[in-house]
Amino acid sequence: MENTTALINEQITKDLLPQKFGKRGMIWTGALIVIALIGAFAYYRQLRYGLVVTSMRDYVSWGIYISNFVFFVAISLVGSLITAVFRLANVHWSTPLTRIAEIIAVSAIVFASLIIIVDMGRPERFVNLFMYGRIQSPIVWDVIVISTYFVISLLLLYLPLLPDLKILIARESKDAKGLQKMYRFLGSFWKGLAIQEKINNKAVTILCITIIPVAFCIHTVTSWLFATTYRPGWDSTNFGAYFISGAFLVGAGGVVVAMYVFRKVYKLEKYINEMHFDKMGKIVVMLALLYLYFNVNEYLVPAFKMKKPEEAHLTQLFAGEFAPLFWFAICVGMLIPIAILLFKKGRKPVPMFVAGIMIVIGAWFKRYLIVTPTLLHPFLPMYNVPESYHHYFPSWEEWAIAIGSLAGALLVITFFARIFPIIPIHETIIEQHETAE
Amino acid sequence: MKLQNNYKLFFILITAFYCNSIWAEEPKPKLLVDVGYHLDNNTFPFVSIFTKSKIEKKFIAVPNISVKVYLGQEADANLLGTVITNKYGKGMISFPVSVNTLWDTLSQFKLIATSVAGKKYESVSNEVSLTKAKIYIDTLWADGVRSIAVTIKIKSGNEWKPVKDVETKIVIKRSVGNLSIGDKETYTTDSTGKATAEFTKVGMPGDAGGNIIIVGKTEDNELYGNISLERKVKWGTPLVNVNTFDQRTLFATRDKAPLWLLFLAGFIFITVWAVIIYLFLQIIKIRKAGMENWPDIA
Repeated sequence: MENTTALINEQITKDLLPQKFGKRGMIWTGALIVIALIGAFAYYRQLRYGLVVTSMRDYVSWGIYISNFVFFVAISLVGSLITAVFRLANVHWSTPLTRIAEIIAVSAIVFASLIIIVDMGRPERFVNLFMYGRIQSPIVWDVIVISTYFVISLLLLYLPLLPDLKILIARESKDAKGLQKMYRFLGSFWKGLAIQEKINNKAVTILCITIIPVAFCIHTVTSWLFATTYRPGWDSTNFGAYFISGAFLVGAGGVVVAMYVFRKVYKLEKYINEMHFDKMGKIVVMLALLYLYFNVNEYLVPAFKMKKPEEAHLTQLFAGEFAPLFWFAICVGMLIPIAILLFKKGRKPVPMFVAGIMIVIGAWFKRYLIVTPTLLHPFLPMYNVPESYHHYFPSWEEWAIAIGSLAGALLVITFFARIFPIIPIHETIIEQHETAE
Repeated sequence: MKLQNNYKLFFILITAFYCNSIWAEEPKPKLLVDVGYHLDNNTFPFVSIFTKSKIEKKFIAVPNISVKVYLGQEADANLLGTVITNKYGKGMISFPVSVNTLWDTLSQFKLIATSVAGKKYESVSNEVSLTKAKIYIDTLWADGVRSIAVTIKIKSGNEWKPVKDVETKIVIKRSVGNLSIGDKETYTTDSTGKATAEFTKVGMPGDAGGNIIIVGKTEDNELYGNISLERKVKWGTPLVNVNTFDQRTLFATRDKAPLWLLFLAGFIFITVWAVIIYLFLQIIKIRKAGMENWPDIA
């Protein structure tokens, strides 16, 4: 019996240990590094020549950088959903997905912070926010809450990783010395003692309770950056809930994509099976319906009243310059995924992956549509300004930096999966035994 | 044959019309000069000039036009002065001391405005004949109702006599424009020369002392011109200037953040970071337990 258990443990460990990059992995990583480097070069140009290299001018002062920021903040919310909410609700099937969700959260929040600094013409002045910031400003709230969420997410990633670090250290001979040094630095003190387990479990529970309100705060405060400004399209009391529902959707969509990719690449079909896709599919469709409800709410009410400035903004979205993008985001980001995932056959891995990709892409463009069209419709008419001020299309530097930041976030996830087990080994072993009993 | 002749005639007419429209000299636009007489607070009179031209059925102001203004007749001795209109086509001139003697003797008078001919406009002249008039304001209080009585008097020989059927406006002077004192736009004087308006704007914000300015006036009156008189009355609500500059508000400087916000934000921040610090302490505890290789006591 003991031998069988050991064999099962060994098999799980072997399956879930981080693997070296294969040929595809090398190409993937190389491509991401190249994209990130192009983004870095574009940022160097922006630093050297100033924000004039972007297409942002007097009216559209928040372009795709801020859209990207909102997107990153949104996707980072998934950590609290998959890890905290499910853990507190005693949902065990989500165990293989917790670390995927957490690393997505950490990498997204890191790049959300970076992209805000990129948006500043003089990044060295970021420090002024801490030195001279006004507590009355939602921007200061955002800085505080993002830093807090980053620390909490990092802790939520680190604490459940401790038992796995013991396993990684035990496999000393098979890993590079550098990695071993890192494993030892991070978790050599973990002996698997009952007292350690007890403290760790308690700490993780406290973390899960803490992260939920902080996660709600982070996206509510981000929505307030817009909603506290009196502008068409942003002047809403509903923005916090609207942003949070959208964030949960894109985060869940991101996890679906990541779980499909990791399952495929690392051959984890035994651990992330069709049941996981089916359950995630049900969650995603519920979140998509919720977000659709908030969208109807967000557009129907101002469209019904049709105040003059709102009319110009809504007409541009529904039937004007932004209409193709708007309907693309609504259909691809919500309607089609709902249509796919409502049916059991749609909740199989491949259609789920397709729906996940659609949700993530739709969500990115949705953030762009929240930020930019409003800026092009100020309350006071635009007189005596150059023609280019009436339109906004990002420059190549902006595209390169935005795409580079997305590549950067994917690189963080890729390297993490190379270094650490993407599915918790220790928890999987325990759950395997509990199921067997 | 007849048809052919008709074609020829049509062709000749078209050609003639075309040539006319090409070679005909463009007529000079006609300049119009408006003259206005003003008497504010029954003190010094002045004259306003407005130069304009009708272009495409619209009156367009004409700037930089020199206009000579005369009192009584177009003679150097009666010249009040020369006005050069501004970019809005407007200009004004007060009566010089040199005409005071003449002015005092007059009951009725004529103002003549003659523009100086230029490259674009020919000289034009316009005149208005008016009767000297004065305006008086009285405040009334009856049965708890406040009223304003405006009296118009005209000069007749050496006397000032009330005049009836004069349309007057009685308004409250505000920062941007005027507000009618009662329900009507205008009030007409009766046989005693008096027009009375009830003050209905009770509670109107005034200055710090509750003062508001009542104005009685005639506007573009064909017989008396524009005469007006102001009277300060204490009928308004004293304006209490709320200065929040030094108070704690959401829009104040960082050192003047509202206390409720400081406490709320501080409470949330301290609570969350206290939890985070506690969690770091737990990590230290786990580390210590592992390093000391504690016995498994749980």
